Amino acid sequence: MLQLFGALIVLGVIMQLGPLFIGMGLVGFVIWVLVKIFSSKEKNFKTPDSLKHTTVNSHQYSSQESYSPREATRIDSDSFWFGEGQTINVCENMIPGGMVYVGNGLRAPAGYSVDCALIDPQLPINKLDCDYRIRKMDYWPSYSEISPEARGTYLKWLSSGKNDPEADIGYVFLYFYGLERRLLHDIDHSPTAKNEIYTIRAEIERLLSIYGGKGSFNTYANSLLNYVKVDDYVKSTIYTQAAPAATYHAGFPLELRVGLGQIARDGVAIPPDWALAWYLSTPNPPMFTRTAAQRCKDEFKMIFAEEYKRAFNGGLKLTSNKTKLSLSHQPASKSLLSSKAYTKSLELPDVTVLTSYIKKFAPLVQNCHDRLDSYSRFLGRNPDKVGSLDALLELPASLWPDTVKEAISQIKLNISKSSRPIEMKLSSFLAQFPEWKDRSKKRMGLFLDALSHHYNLGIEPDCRFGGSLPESDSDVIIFDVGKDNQNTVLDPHYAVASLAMHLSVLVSQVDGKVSEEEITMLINQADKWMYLKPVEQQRLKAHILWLSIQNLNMSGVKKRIESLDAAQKEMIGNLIIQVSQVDGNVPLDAMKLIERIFKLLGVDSTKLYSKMHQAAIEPITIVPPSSNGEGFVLPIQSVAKQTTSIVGTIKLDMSKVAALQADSEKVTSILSTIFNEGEASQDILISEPLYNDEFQEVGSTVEGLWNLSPALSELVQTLIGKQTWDRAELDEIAIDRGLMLEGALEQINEAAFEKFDQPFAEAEDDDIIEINQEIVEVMKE
Amino acid sequence: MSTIRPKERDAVLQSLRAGVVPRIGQHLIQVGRVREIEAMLKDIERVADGGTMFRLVIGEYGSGKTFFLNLIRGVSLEKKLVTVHADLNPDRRLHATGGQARSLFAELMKNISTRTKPDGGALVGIIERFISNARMEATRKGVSPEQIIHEKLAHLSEMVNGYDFATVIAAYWKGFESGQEQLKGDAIRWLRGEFTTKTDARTSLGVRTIIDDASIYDQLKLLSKFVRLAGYAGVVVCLDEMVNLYKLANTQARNANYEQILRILNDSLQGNSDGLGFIFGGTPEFLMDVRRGLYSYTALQSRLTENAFAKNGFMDYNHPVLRLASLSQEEFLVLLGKLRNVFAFGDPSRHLMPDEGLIAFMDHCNKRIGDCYFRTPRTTTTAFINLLSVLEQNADADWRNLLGHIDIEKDMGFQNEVFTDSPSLNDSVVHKSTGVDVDEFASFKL
Repeated sequence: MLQLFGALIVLGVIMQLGPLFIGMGLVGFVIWVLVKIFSSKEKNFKTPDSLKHTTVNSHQYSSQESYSPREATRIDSDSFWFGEGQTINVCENMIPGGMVYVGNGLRAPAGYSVDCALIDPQLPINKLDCDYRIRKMDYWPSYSEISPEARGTYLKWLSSGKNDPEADIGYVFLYFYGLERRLLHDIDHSPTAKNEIYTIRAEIERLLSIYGGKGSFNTYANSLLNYVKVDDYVKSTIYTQAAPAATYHAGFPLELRVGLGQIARDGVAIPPDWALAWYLSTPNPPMFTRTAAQRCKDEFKMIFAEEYKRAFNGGLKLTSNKTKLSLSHQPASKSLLSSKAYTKSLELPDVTVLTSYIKKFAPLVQNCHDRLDSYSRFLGRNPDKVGSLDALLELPASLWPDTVKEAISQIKLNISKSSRPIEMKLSSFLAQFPEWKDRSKKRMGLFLDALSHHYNLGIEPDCRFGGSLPESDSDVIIFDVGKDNQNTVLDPHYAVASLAMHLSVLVSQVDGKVSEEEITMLINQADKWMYLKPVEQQRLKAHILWLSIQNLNMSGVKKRIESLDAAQKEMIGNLIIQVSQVDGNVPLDAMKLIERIFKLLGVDSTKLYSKMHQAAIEPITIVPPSSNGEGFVLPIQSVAKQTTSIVGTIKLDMSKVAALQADSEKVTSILSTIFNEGEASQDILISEPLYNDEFQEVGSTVEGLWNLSPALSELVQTLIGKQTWDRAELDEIAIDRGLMLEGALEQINEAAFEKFDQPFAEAEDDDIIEINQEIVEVMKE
Repeated sequence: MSTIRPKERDAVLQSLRAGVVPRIGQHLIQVGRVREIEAMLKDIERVADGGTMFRLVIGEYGSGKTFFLNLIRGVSLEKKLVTVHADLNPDRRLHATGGQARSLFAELMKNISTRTKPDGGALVGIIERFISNARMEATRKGVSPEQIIHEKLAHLSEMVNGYDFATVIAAYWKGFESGQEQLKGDAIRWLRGEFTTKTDARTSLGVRTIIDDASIYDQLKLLSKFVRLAGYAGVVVCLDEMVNLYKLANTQARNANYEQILRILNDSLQGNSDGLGFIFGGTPEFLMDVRRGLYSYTALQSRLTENAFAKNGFMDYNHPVLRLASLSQEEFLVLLGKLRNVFAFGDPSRHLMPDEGLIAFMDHCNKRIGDCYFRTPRTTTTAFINLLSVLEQNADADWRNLLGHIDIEKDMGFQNEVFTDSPSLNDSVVHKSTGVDVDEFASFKL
C-alpha cells in the first residue's frame, strides 16, 4: 500500500511536474526505501491487531537499559495512536482509556525529532519513585528526553486515571501534547482522527475540569478547544442558543465572538443574554460589575433582559465592522511549534473590538445593580434564605419565580370570575408563596408594594396605609387594584370615604349581619364617588367587604371624625342614614348607634330624624365631593337631565311638574267626588242612615220632605218663611212641636246635604239662625 | 276644572293669607299625595263601616301635616263620621295626672264636628238627634222615651264608665222634658269633661264619676258607640302636634303617654273599638328619637318599625306610619298654580299671572330666603296670595314690577318650639335650656 502510494507520487510528480521535481522524487524514493526497511523490523514487536484490541505485550514494551531511541522517521500517526477505551500495558503500567501514542520513531510534525508525546516503551523507566505530585521535568518536556524517573512517574499518572488534581501539571501537559497532535495534525491526514474530534474534545474538557486552575494549561487547553470548536460554531447560528458563560471581564469567549459576529452578519438584534455576556466578558468595561452580578447570576440576567428590552425597545442591532474575526492557536507541544500557522480566519466581523456598544450597556448594568443590590446583600447576609419569600421581597417583583407568578395569576383569575374581590385567610393566601420567615410590618409593606405595582393585586387591610400587621389567621380581601396604581399615597378624601364606610358598616352590623343589599348599596356608592381615583375606588370596595366581616366598634372613630369639615360630616351622616334604610327597618339599637355617631359628627339630632324621615320616603343624594380635591359641594337635589328648566336660581324638573299636575288633578277629582258632587257621590256616601234601621222605620212611615219625619218636614216648611230666625224663637217653635231644636236642625241639615250638598239652616252666631236661600229658591220652584 | 264656589275660595285664601290651614276647600289646593290620600280614604271607609284606624302622619315642619289632617277630617265629615280634633300642647296630653288629659278631652269635645257643623260644637246636635230618634221610637212603641234611651244605651253600660254615660244622656232628656235648662247644661258639661269634682257631678247629675285624666280614652270609645247609635258612622280623632309628648322632659310622664298610644294602637290593631279612628300628626323625631321618641318605647318601636319589604322605592301605604315628604320645588310650583286658579275662581282666563310669573316668584323667594321657601311654604304662600291680591285689585299693575317689592320672612316657627313640661318639672327644663343633658349625667356613674 505504502509502496504503491510512493510509486504513484513519484510517477505523478514525474509526469505532471516534469524534470524539475525529479530530485524531490528521488528524495521520496529514499524515504520510501527507509520506511520499508523499518516497517519490516517493527513487525517483529508490534502486531497492530493485537495491540489495538486490548493490551500490548509487556514483554515487548519493557524498557531496555541500553536502548536509545531510533531516528524519528515515521509519520503514520494512526499506527501509534491508541484510541479511546483501549488499555495499553507499558512496562507493567496498565494505561486505561488510551489516547496516547505508543511506539518508537514517530516524528514530530515540526522538525525531525521524535514527537514529545510519544511513549516509547523501550526507553528505560524508573519505577522506584513514582510520585507524580512532584515535579520531575522542565518546561516543554518530551517523553523521550525526560529522566527514567519522570517517565515512570508519567506512566504511573497515566495508569492512575489521569485525574489526580494534585498531579504536577507537567505530566498533564505531556499527555495533552498527544491530544493536541491528534487534533491539529492527524486530522489532516487520517479519517480515523477526524472521527475522534469529539472524544478528544471531551477529554480535554475533562482535563480542564480538573486542571483548569493551572493558568498555562487552562490557556493552552481552551485555546485548542476553541480552535477546534470554531468549526462547529460557524456551521450553525449559535446566537439562537443561550449565550456562553461570561468571563467577568477576563476576555471574550470564542463562542461569544462568533455569536456576535453572526448577529452582526445577519443584522438581527442582540439577544439580551448575549448582550450581557458581551458586557460581562469585556475587559476594562466602563463600569465593572459588582458582587451582585455573580452572586445572583440568573436574577441579574433577568433584570438586564428587562432593562435591555426597555432601553432598546426590544433589542439593539449590530452593524458589521471591518475587523474580521480570526482565531489562532499557539500549540503547547514543541513538536507542533512552527510546523504550520494554526490560524483560522472566519468570514465574520469581530464586533468585540467595538467599545461603543459596551458604553451603551453600562447604564443598564448600573440599573441592574441598583435593582439587585438589596437582594444580593440580603442573600449575602442570609444565605439560608435563598428562595424564601423574604428574599423574593428584595427582588424586583417581575423576577419572582414562575411558580409564584402562576399562583398569582390563578388568584387573579378567581377574582375576575367572581367579578368581586375574594375573601380568604391571610395564611391561605400566603401559602401560595414560598416560606416567609420574617414577617414584619415593613416587609409586609414591601410585599404589598410588589403585589400591587407589578401584579395589580391588592390586599385589604393594607398596613401601608395605617393599621397594624394582620395576623396570619385573619381574614383578608384580595382584589384587583386595577392599572395605574403606582401611587401608594392615598388621597385624604379616601380616608373620609373609608371612615364613612366604616361607620356605615358598623350601623349595618347592628342587626347581626351585613346584608348583601347593604354591601351592594355601599359598593355602588363607592363607584359613584368620582372624586376617588379608580384605584381608590377598587380599594374602597375591598375595604367595604373587609369591614363587613370584622367586628367593628367605635374606637378611634371620634378622633377620625374630628378632622373632618362640615360638608364631609354631612356626607357621612347621609350615607349612614341611607344604608340604615336599605333593609327597610331600622332596629332600635341601630337608631341608638346612629344617634351616637351623629352626636360625634356634631349634627343636631333633630336634623338626624328629619334625614331619616326623608330617607324613608325616597333615597337621599349622598353628595359626591367635588373632583378638584378642594372639599365637598353642598347637597343639591338630583335633577332629571332632559327636562330641566332653569330660571334664575331655580332649577325645575318640568317632567316632574307635569307628573305632579296630573297627580294633583287625580287627587282633586277624588276629593271633589267626596266634597262637591252630591248626585255623583251616591255610591260612596252613606245616603241612608242604615245603621239605625229602627229609627229609619219611624221616618219612612210618612212620605215626608227629603225623607224627613212629618214633624221635621213641617218644621222645614215653617222655617222657609223667614230668612233669619232668633234661636229663642226657634226653640219655642221646636218645643211646641215636641222637638229638640239642635237635634232637629242636625237632622234637617243632614237631609239637606243629601239633597243639595249644602246645609239648610246655619247658625250665623249663637243667637241667629240663617236659612239657606238657595235651597228655599229651589223648593219654591 | 269646574268653577270654584266663592265661599270655598274665600275660605281658602283667607286662611292661607293668615298663615293657617283652611278648614274647607283643601281639595282645591291639594298637590300630589295621591297614594297617601287613597290610603287614608280606605281607612276612613273602614271606620265608617265600624272598623278602626290608627295612623301616624309623620312629616317635617312645614311638610303639611296639619293640612293633611284637616283634609282627612274634612273627608271624614263627608263620610258621615263625627270628628274630634285637637292640638297637643303642654297642657293637653293623652295621659296626665294634673288634669292635662281631661283638658285635651275638653278641647276635643269642643271641636266635635259633624258635616252640618264642621267647625265644632256639634255635641248638642248629636245628643238631641239621638234622643229625637228615641222619642220617635217610643211614640211608635207606646213606651216612655226614657225607657227607649236606656234600652239603646244598655250595652254602653257594659263598658267602662258606660253606665254614667247613659245616665247623663238620660239626664239631658229629663232636662229637656222638664224644661230644666240647668240639667241639660250640666249633662253637656259632664260630657265635655268640664266637671272637675265628683261631688259636683253627683249633686248635679247623680253620677258617681266624672271624666278625668284616666278615662279619656274610654270616654272616646263610648262616644264612638254613642254616635253610631245616634245615626253617625263613627268617630275620627285627629291629634296634631304630637311632638309635644316628645318634648316632655320627664321620662315617666312621657312613657305614660306613649303607653296610652300603645293601648290605642293595640285596640286598633285588635279591633277592640268600633268605628273609632285615630290620626296623629308628628315630626320625625317624635317618631324616631331613640331616647324620647315613640321608638324609645320598645313595644311601640317594634310595632311601628317600617315594613322590611317596603324598600328600594316601594312604599307600604297601609303601614301605621304614613310619611309625608316635604314639598319639592316642583310641588311648590304646582301649588302656586293651584292658588292662582283658586284666585281666578277656577277660570283660566282670569289668571292674574302667567306660568313664568310663578317661576319668577319662586326665584325671588329663593334669593331672599333660600330653599326653605318651598320646604316651609307658609310665609311664601301668604306672600304669593298678597301679590295676587294686589294684582287683582290693580288691573294696570304688572307682576314684574311688583315682584321686587315683596318682602318674605323666613318661617322660623319651628325654632320657637322649645322643650316644655309641667311646672313641677321646671328643674329639668332649666337643664335642657342650658344645653346640659340631664339623662347623660344620670347615666354617668363612677
